[in-house]
Amino acid sequence: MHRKGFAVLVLTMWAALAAAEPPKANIGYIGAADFTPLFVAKDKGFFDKHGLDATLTRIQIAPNVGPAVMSGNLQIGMGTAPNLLHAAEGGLPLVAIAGASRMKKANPIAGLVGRSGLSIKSPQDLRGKKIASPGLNTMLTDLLEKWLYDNKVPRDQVTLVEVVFPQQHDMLKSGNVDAAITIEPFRSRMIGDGTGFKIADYVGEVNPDVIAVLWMARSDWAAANPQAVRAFRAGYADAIDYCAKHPDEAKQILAKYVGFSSPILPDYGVEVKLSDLEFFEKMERQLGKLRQPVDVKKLVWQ
Amino acid sequence: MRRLPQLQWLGAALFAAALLIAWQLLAERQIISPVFFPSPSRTLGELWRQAAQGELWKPLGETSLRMFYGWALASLLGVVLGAAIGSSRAAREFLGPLLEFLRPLPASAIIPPAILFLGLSNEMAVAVIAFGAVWPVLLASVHGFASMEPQLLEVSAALRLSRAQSLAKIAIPGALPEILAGARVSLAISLILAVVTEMQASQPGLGQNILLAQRSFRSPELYAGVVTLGLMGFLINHAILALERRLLRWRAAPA
Repeated sequence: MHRKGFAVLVLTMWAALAAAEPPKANIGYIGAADFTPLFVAKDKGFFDKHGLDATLTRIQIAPNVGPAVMSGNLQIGMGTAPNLLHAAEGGLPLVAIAGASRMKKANPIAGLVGRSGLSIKSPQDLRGKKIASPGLNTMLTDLLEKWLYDNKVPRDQVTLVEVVFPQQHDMLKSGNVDAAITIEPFRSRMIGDGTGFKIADYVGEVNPDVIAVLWMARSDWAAANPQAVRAFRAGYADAIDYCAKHPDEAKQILAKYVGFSSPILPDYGVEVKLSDLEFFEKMERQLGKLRQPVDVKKLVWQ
Repeated sequence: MRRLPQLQWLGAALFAAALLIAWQLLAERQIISPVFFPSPSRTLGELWRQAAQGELWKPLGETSLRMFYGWALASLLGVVLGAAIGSSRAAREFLGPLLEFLRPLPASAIIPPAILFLGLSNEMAVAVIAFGAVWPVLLASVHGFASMEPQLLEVSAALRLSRAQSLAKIAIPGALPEILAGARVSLAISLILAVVTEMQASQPGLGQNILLAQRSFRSPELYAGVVTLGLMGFLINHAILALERRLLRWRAAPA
């Protein structure tokens, strides 16, 4: 009798402890200034404050994040709207649980840089040119294709080759490419030392306010762990506020996590609007990158 | 005696069919998620769609041409260098260690310097393929030329053949079986490296299509690309075996 009571007591205590233990999430990111609030939330304890036991895992290349979330190695992973749409078309049950960064016309982070000495003033001048892309079939390149499409430059009249951001400077300088789709801080360096010149902040011309990076999770995990998702969003929102109030400290935290800092920080925002995904869905279908329509309502966690 | 090869073919075909059925069953029962593991019917359906809509031929042609140029350059270099090294003891001793040093270098590791020198171009891809694919032909021809029968050399001396005649009439035919065996291995390496350069150095072709399919979570397209590459490998292997039989008809047929 006595022993039974003791066992019940231990079990009750264990259950209480287990219930009190905050939900865990392994979060996958890549080295970019878009994730500054993630590092700030971890560093300043905002995730802990809202009850999320977060582990950050750096993934080398973005296309591996989706499969890592699917396999359960990561509970939350970075992605872009085109990633999410292609995943949906391919049958992967991923949903957007939060926004990370936005590209706004007033604060252009990405742009097209031309090689000094060339005369490229309009999209029309890009015919016959070779452009370095950080990744074919990824968001920034798709947006460039949309810009060319809007300006009536046929896609087959420009050559896109993949060159990762850190190598673009050398490829531009050596004349291997005529232009590069690039982001901060690489863009400032290319223009700063005279290797290249700004052709256009084409993203803002396509859409003045577009979601850049978002956070994805498996839909079954998000449905089973609403508390974890809410804690993630609340901690993230606090971190965004903190970044706005302490930009210098935010840059230091960024450098601590990714090894470089950026003179300009992107715009951050934790919201994902349906219209964000609708814009990309329409664009990807226009460019022939989505074969079937995708119901974007199913792709946003409610 | 004639029935044996036919039986072998039947066995190979049956085994392949059994694998296909197992693949179909595994995919249908969803033992592995169909998102990452499409059934053979979906994969072959995708391949059929690409072939019917004409999407398949351009990348197939690009990859085949790249593979062929790389292989041709590797074979030419391999035979010329192999003849020079194989017929001279001094060259073997001088160059041997250097070749042994270069041989294990992975061809994909020389892509970044190759891009610096040749740009993101087809020439760069062909150079990388040739670098990786030259070794089997080179080593086979070094061996082929070095291990020429001493009596044949004496015959060549007795007939007072010039160096060129001796090379054309005695040395090359003697080394041909080994050269062809090496060239067959080189061709397979050329196909692999054509795909690697497409994936790593952004050249259009089947390799790039496979990479883009993976990036867009289109697994039937990815597997269709892999199946195409497999078929290509199978066909080129048989083509070169047929060539080998033709060129080596003069050798006494084994009983």
